[in-house]
Amino acid sequence: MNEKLAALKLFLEQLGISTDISTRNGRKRVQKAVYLGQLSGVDLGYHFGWYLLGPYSPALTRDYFQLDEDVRATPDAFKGKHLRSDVSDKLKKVAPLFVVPPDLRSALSTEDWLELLASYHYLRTASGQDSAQAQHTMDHRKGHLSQYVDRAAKVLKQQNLLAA
Amino acid sequence: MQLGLAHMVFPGAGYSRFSHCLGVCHVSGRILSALKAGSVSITDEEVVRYRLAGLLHDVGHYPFSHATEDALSRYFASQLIEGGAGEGGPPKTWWDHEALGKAILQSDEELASVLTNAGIAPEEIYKIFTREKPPRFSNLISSDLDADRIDYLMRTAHFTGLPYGTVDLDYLLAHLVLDNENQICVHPKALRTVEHFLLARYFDFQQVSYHKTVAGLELVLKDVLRALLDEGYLKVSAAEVKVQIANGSWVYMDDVQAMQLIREHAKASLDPVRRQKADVILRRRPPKQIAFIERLASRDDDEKNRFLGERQQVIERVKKWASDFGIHDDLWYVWHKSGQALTKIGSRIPVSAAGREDTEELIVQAIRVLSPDGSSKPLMEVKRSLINALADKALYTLRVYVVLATEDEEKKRDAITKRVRDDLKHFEWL
Repeated sequence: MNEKLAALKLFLEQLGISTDISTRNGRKRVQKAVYLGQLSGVDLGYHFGWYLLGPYSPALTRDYFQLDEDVRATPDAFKGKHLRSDVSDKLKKVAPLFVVPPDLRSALSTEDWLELLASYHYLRTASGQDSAQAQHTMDHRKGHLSQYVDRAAKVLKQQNLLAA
Repeated sequence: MQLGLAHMVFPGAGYSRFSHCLGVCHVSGRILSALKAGSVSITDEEVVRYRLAGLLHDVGHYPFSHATEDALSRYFASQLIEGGAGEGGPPKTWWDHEALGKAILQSDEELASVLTNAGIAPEEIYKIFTREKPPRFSNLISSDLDADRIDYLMRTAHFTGLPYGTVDLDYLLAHLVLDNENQICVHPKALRTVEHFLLARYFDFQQVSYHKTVAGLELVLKDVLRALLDEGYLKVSAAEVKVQIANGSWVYMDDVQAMQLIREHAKASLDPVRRQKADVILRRRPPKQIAFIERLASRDDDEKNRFLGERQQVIERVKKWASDFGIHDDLWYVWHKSGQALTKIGSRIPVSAAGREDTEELIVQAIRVLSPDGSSKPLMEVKRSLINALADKALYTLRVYVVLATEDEEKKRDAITKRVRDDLKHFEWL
């Protein structure tokens, strides 16, 4: 068993994220979910850089395609495997990030919401941008999401993932 | 060494990662100079920073780089799973080579002082090669046509003596331009040059990195490195490496040190299978390729499912073969690559499934060709390009290896091959 792929699968399942990567949205969802899930302190070892759709990990892409192959070849490959309870508990704490606020559900899909959160968080932390710079970047690079930046900031601060 | 264990097959292929990084530094500078000559506004400060990013982009690589990262990723991931590795305490974290490169630039005092004395903050450099700050020329360091790949290809061709990596670099550089979105792209005059570059890379990979003996050695090396982690010979969690960077001992963690740890472990290990695997590396006794399948086919679900089915059938039989021939099943390996293509996008998703309105991150890294209106398009979308014709094709390879540690086991090789082929008669064995 490839423990790395098992951990990835269990990690996503704990967050309620499908491992179906047959669509672009599915792949985007997995990328952003892993980025946000790692903020809980559960580190799968994926390092993210800034790409077209925000934070992205090429290594994660390789792994979720490999995971997809392994599960297709052997559906029971990871049967009986579970995350450690302390790991699951950490992931549960960031679960609120994965719920699109009810008033935004008509405007934003889950993938869009995760892209918004992950991108804004990345700009404010890894890229070292202040709130004005990050808003500017979002306006220019993610125009379809930039009007919701304040909501993203609020949710991230509530989770103590951004300074108040 | 840049090429891992390839020197065990191509004796000249022992060039250092340092020489490669010097090359990336140089090529980065040449690319920017070429753009400047084409009237792109680039400051001298930008050139210096991109050259430094090229020089330092691999400073975070572990000994035996990719094999070690593979072992590390599995080892530390297992700590997250019930019953996994570790001493029972909280799971430890680790750094991939980019994160480690960043940590080194942040913490190594000597490196930091060299940069700051030159008026350069270390974060200006690592933010380029980690892509943490969206850089102006991000595709310079990481794309299908980047300084890294260009140097790698040419340097490997030179040192292995294999001609596949010959690149018309001067012509290529003379035809680099920016499109109207500031993306580095190639003038159509150099279309054949970039096609040749991608084909050269494909053949180089097949002949060197995926050479049957090199690939077999790397498979065993990953297990050997995993044993070092399991038995405490290699301590490279993020916290442990941080201490070693701070006290200056990390610079000594190189291939020589790793080989010494393998020797020490082999001497002390009570596990005969682990000792046999260590011998594969220490005494150059590569696993033998018993049987293989290879075909160039469409990159679609039918072909992929067919290949995955074949892979699974082989894996399911390994235990029985191992038992019948009296060779431990841990000494059998199934190496498989499904969907190796000429471009990244073709390796993961069929080009036909990643149209312009469905932009994928991998498209960002594809080689781009300038269009008459000043925009650019990925090479695989240029209809007159060979790459376009081949973009939905991929190579599927499956190999069965066995470590034959003794003379008696060597004598079983032909019988094993016959057995594998007979048990799976319907396969198109080569």
